[in-house]
Amino acid sequence: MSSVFETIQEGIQFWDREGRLLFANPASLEQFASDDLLLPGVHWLQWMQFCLSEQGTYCSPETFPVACALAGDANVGSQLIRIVRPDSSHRWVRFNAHAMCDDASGEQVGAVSSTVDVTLLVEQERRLQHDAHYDALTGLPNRVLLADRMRQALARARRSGELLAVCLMDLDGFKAVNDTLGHAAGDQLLQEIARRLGDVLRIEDTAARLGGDEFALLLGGIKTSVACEQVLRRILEAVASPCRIGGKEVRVSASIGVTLAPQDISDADQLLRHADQAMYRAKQSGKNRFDLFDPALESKAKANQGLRRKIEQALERGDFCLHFQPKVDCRQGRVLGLEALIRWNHPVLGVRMPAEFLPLIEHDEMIVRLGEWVLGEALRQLQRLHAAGHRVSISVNISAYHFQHGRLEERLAALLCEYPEALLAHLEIEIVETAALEDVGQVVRLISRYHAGGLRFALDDFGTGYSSLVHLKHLPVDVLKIDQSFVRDMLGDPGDLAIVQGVIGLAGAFRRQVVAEGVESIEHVLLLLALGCDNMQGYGIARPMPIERVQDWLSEFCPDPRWRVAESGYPSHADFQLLLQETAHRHWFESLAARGEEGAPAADHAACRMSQWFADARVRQQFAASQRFKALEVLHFEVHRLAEQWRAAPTAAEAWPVLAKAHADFIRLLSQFRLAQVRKQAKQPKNVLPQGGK
Amino acid sequence: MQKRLEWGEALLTGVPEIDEQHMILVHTLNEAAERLGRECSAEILGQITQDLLGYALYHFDTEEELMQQSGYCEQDAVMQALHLEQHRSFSAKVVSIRESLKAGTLIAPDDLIGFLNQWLVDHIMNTDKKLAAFLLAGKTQTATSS
Repeated sequence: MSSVFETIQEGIQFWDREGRLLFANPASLEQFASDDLLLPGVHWLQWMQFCLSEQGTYCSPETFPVACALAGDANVGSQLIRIVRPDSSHRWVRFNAHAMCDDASGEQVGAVSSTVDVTLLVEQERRLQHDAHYDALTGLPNRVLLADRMRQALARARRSGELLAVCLMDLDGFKAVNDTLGHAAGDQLLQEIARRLGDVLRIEDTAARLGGDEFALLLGGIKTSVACEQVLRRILEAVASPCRIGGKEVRVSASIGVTLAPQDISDADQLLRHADQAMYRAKQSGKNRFDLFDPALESKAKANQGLRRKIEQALERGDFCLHFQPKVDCRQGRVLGLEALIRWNHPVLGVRMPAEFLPLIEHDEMIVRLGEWVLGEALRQLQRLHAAGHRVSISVNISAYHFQHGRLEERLAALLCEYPEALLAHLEIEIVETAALEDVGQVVRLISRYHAGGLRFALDDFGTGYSSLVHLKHLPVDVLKIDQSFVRDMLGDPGDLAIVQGVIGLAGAFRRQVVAEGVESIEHVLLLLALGCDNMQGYGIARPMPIERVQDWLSEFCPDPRWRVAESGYPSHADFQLLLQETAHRHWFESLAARGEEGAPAADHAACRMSQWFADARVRQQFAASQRFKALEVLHFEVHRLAEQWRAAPTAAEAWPVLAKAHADFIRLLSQFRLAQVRKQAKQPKNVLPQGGK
Repeated sequence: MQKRLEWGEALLTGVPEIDEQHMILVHTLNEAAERLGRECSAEILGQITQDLLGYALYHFDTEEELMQQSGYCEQDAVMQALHLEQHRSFSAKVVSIRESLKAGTLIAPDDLIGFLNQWLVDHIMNTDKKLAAFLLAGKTQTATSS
């Protein structure tokens, strides 16, 4: 029997009840390569010291096969154990153990164990596994192992609350090395870079090669993005320092894209995609640098793309429509034309104004498509209106981008040839002043080409672009449209009033028509008429309306009788002065309201310019008999008294409301007084308007 | 300088879609504050307000579509009207800032950021949370009834 044990290749060992070795065969010696261990009486605990588990950890006395068998555990499976021999070489064995019982009594007397050498098999399997997980050239983990490492690192980051930086790195200038020095040199360079990465990274970090000159890095345990940046800078330096390859000095650099998990809430694949996007940006912005992926930026970009797509769909579905806002000559009381304004019938958000959505596509091809749709639709409606007997003109806005990149000349030609020439004299193109100034030559070309056909051109938002007089001389536009912000605020802001006056004067000097936008009230109308601007547009004239209402509006249009006060002639100088006084007083009150206690204008009566007007001897003489004038003067005094009172005790209850009411009353009375004067003068012989007002 | 908005538990409505967009809005506002802190020019204000318009349109679309789908209006017409009104007035305010920008008046950075931060926090705390509560209640109801 024992001769059998002498010759078989498996190791066989017998143990007594106390766990001491009774016998071990020569095959055991071969496996453990230690005579001492095989002496009878050696305890299994001593054996265990030379064994490691499959995972490479120390074996535990609770699970060691011999111990289990001795403890009577019948279900001890075989274990893969690595024997570390005294010369530190390794053998892999399958270790089995069973209880040994006395045949007669059935009592356990010890244990028998077997050790089968499977070193070849295990190593082959390990090699295969290594090849499947590591890059052959650099020895770095490959894509497969990276995925595994990422899973672990992400889980760790979520547990610890720290950040994991997922980076993609690409070598700048690697292709040139391959092309000039050959692939062998390229391979050497990759190996060198891999070695350097190993030097820079901490042991718990991962550098992987994904293929070509592309690497991935996982940097864990990061507390702030600043800490991450320090590591990345070290990597950039390490890659950028020169290498010697084949006796030549070679330099490359790295472009790195980084995304921080779990800030960047996404799965592993998406993290790599985000890092890739950031890497692309790093390359774009000059290489040898890193770029941090910004999830908010990404979401915003997504939102923007989503919006653009929605605008595109809206155009295809016909969700855009035109509204038309009348322009009226208030002096003559007749309609000049209509401005076509786009509206978006948003399926969820309702009707949206152009100022809300046009800015989102103003630098985009989409605005050209939309602009062309507006042109086509406006022409269609223009033809319909003319067929119905309304010989008005329609103006259409052309965006800056459309104007500069939209092949406008060509497209206009194609569009216009579908309509009778006579109709074109009723089409007006509005170009924003700022856009026209960017390319004056193009405007001049465009205008000179279409002017002959009767097409008219307007500079929109005039006053916002600081046109020089020289530009205006060269720009053969027909109309200047005063920007609505100046018109709207001219009653309260002397600066805006000055701009409005200036544009009207400019238009007169260059013989251009002038249209005021943003006309909201009768005061606006009267002041503009007084300033010499007859053509107006705004809520105070008419709101923009859908085409269905336009025909009715045109048929029913009848000028506001109040405009007629100015119709018979310009108001007098005195009246104009009054209008300016009113403007100045409104402005004073608004600044008082806006600035509160600090920096507000003087409150007292003496400092007010209106007081000087009341005190003027000619004025007193002229209105000596007027009860309204007397009431006005008293109220004016009262307003300033209340203003001073409020100033002295601004927190006193009612101080402000009382003042506000008094001022409103005063302004109302002043307007009435002024209009009464105008009416009186209208019946008298003509007065002459003082140009420029003051 | 204005305080940064802190994104956190307090601002969560519980509706993931809405919360994600709010987080981006908070980030957008903080970024705007930071940029304006460095430089306040017509160009930067123009970019920031354009960004805001775009994101507002996108975000309001999401919320209002959720309202429509869930029948919020039938449940609380007044609240829905108030909610829409707040959306509209936000866009109108941003548009008016852009208008005055065009005419050369630059809004003071503190005023802009102050308005934006105040609006967003008020809107989320008082208005969006009511909508979210309604949406979440609807969800649990359908979940239990099915």
